[in-house]
Amino acid sequence: MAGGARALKRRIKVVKNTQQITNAMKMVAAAKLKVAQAKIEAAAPYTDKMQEILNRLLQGTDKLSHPLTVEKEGNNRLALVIFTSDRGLCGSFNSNLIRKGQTFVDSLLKEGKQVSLMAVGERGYAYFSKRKYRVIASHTGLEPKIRFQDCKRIGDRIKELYTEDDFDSVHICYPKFKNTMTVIPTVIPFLPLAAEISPSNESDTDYIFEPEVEKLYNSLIPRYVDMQLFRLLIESMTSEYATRMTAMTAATDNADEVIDNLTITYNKMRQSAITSELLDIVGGANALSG
Amino acid sequence: MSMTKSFQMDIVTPDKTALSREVTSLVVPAAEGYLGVLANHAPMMAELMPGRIQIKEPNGKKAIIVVSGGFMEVKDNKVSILAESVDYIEEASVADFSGLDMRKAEEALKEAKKRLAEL
Repeated sequence: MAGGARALKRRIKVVKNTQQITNAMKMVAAAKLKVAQAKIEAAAPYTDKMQEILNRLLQGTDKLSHPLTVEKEGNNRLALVIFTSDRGLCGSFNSNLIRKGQTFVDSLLKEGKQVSLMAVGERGYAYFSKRKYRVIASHTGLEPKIRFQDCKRIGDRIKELYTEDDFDSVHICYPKFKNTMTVIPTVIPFLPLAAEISPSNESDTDYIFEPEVEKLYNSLIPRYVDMQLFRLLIESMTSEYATRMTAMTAATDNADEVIDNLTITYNKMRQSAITSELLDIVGGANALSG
Repeated sequence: MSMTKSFQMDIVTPDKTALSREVTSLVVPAAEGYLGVLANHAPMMAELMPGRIQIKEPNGKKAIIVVSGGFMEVKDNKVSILAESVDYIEEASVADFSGLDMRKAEEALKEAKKRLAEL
């Protein structure tokens, strides 16, 4: 009986230690989530202005074209960039992303297309490279404080896939951030770039263009692609740390419950031990006086 | 106090707003040579090469900013410069740029020459 109680006490201590760790991880995730969200805000003046400039360039001209915006004749080769996290302990974050990506790839393979994968994040790389999939590149070690210059390397590689390696299209599978509790794995077409003009923003300002519109457009498009990728990357990071935070909150709450249950069991055990001891004493006293 | 009109200038990168100042004049490395902007400039969109941007503030202070190239929009007395990165900011109270980091400046120059050669 005493041994059982001691074991229970040890278990309670172990769970408490674990809870301390999950609680710390929750706070780290919350801090990193804030960093990622701040990055999105910090990028907004750049991304908004660039969108504005692109809209203005596209206005009134249909002659503009850049290799990254041109649809290609099908040679049945496609690329999918899949975002995952580097590490686990983030609930179903990675498994959801991987399932989404895999479903997409499998349906294309069934149609007889050739699909290559580029993994951003260790988890996706580990999963797909161990299976029958063709993984052509991987990037790991991204952090919420990621700088644009670091993300450019990935952007350059993706542009290369489209312009030099002859893929018909590049899709991206990423965790779309809805709110802290909701992250939706989503596959979007990335290249060729569908540069969209928002008609509400019609500007009648008469600009001087230097150099001419075509040249401006041609230098803007690759940077626009980098910018879009950067946004997706920070959004993925936001989703990752939101999920991580939610998972760690759940783990911490769960630990609370386990501790409560174990404590009740321990108390009951202790009480019954005392009761039986008392019974022994009373029994012994009665026998003596009897 | 000079009577030169001033205008707002923002240099933004994907990582942050690198500089937001009221200036009276601005010289930028445009695709076809250095380009000066004063208040009431006509609306313009320009591509910028890697190089130095020179600004002058209403109080006469000058500064040099080395950027990686990008774009500039001039509109309604507001200048927005989009640069992928701002490599260097050199503030000077007078027109003295002797403290400019030569290595960085030379790197920017080399990059600019490379881009020119590619044209």
